[in-house]
Amino acid sequence: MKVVFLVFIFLSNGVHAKTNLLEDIDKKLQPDSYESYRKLINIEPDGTKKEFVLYMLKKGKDKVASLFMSPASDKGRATLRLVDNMWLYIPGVAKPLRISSMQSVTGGVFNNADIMRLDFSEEYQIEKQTEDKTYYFLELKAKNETVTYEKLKMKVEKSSLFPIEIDCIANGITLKTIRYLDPKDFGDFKRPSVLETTSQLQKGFKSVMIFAKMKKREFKDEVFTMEYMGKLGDIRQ
Amino acid sequence: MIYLFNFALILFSSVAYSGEYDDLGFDVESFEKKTIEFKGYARIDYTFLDTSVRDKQTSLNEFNLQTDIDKYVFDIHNDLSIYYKTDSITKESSSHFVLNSLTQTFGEERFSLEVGKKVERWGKGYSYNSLAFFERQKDPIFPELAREGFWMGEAQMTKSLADSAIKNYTLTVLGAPRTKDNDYLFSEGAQSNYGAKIYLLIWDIDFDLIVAKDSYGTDLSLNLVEGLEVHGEYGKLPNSESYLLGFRYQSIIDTTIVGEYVDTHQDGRFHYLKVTQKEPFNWVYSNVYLLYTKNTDDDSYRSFLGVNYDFKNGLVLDGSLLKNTQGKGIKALVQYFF
Repeated sequence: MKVVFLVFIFLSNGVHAKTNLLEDIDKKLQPDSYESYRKLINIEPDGTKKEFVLYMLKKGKDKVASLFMSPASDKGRATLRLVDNMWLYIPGVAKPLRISSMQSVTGGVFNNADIMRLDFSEEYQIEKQTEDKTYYFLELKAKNETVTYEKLKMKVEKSSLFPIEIDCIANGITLKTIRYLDPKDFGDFKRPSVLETTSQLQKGFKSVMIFAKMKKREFKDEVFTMEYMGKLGDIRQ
Repeated sequence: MIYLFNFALILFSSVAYSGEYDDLGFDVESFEKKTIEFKGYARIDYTFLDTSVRDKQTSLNEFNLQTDIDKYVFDIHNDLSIYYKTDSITKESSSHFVLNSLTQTFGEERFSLEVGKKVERWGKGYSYNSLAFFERQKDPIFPELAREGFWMGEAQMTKSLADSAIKNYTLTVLGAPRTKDNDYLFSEGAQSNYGAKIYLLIWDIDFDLIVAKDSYGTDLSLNLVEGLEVHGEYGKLPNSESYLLGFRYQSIIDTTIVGEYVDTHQDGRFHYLKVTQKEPFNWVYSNVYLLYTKNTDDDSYRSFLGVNYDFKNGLVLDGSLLKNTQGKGIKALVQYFF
């Protein structure tokens, strides 16, 4: 009886670890509700760079908004993501336009889904999980067809639960590889502060995202609405 | 021993990772919110048109300055432009000053009150808006030029809902006095116009319903599948009505196609098509585009085949070949943002 009980405990722990591992990784990467500044740097094969600075907000698993601070030609633009819906607001020109996840408002290797990424556990489930002494090796499958990449191959550091490297796969082809670098203490939170993305489709191009001033902050749900996009600057403190 | 090895490996990898992008820097303090913030642009827009009668050269040059003041109860946005125009046919040049907008906003995330001169964007169309009840009608080719608003007062209430088909809604109520430049938006004898708009995000569809003093209308926009958006709008004004049907397709290789059919009943019916290829041949920050509009009632048309490039220092260049019912020519646009 004792053996049966131990086997039950062992199995239930195994299932628990597998189903909750993605949520644990999400929790390690960001608080439930936070603000941050991010610098996106597109690096061309000859080394020339173009930089964007965004003020970003996230609440829960599926609400993300951003406001462009730089360059001057993009200042005041805002993006919003609510689950699968994405909008782009261009001040003075038009009302918010619906945009797609595979396109990029910044150019370069990062697409809109990379910049306004939802929690991994919101979009993916673990299809296969292996491990060695240092890392988990996860194969993730998209929960539905609207998710940008149908599969992710993720290498996760066991001790920190930080992703180390992610291959993004669509139509059986690895489109890009994201590396999580330079863990940094943001005061009440620690996570990798640099994401480097290389694309197999754009050889020699690289995009880097640097996180700064990431801190927990509560927002009303109404901040993440289409009509509020033009007023996002008011939320900055 | 194994644990020690693992610890050393992790420590080494951390050291190897850190510093790799240190030289890129991020002076985040320089992006702190300031009491007064400025932005704007200078723009030179030159057109040469070779017609069957004679050549025509026009230029429209603009300096724009936008100011935001946010302190205590003051939340003021100001947008003004100074224009200088030349025309080789009339041999005339002129300059004028336009206050595009000047608003004071009170309130917070769920409720706001805005008073002043404001640009109100209603409708989902790119080339035309049947719901332009409180705004200037835009040029389908250059929608960004319709920057000047009207004087009005507006109250807005927004609410998000959990576990509901309606994810959020916004109720907007506004009123505008009759002035000499918005006369055409008013019914005869009316000294003011007022209206209400309800916006719903329902089942992933953007939906608006508008009722104004002498007009009404509706619009919607939704993604049929990933990358394919469809939209439509209908508006009834005191002396006219119009509708628009359109789509926007975005491919995985960053090709964007926008197509619209507009029936204004008053000014005729026209087609609008814009095809844009972003960053062709990995030429980053560039776009190649084809733009075509045709009025099917009188067969007049305008077309542009152009390329633009967004430099890293705020400079944007746009050059195009143009062909329309009158003739053919070139168009050049230089814009510097600060």
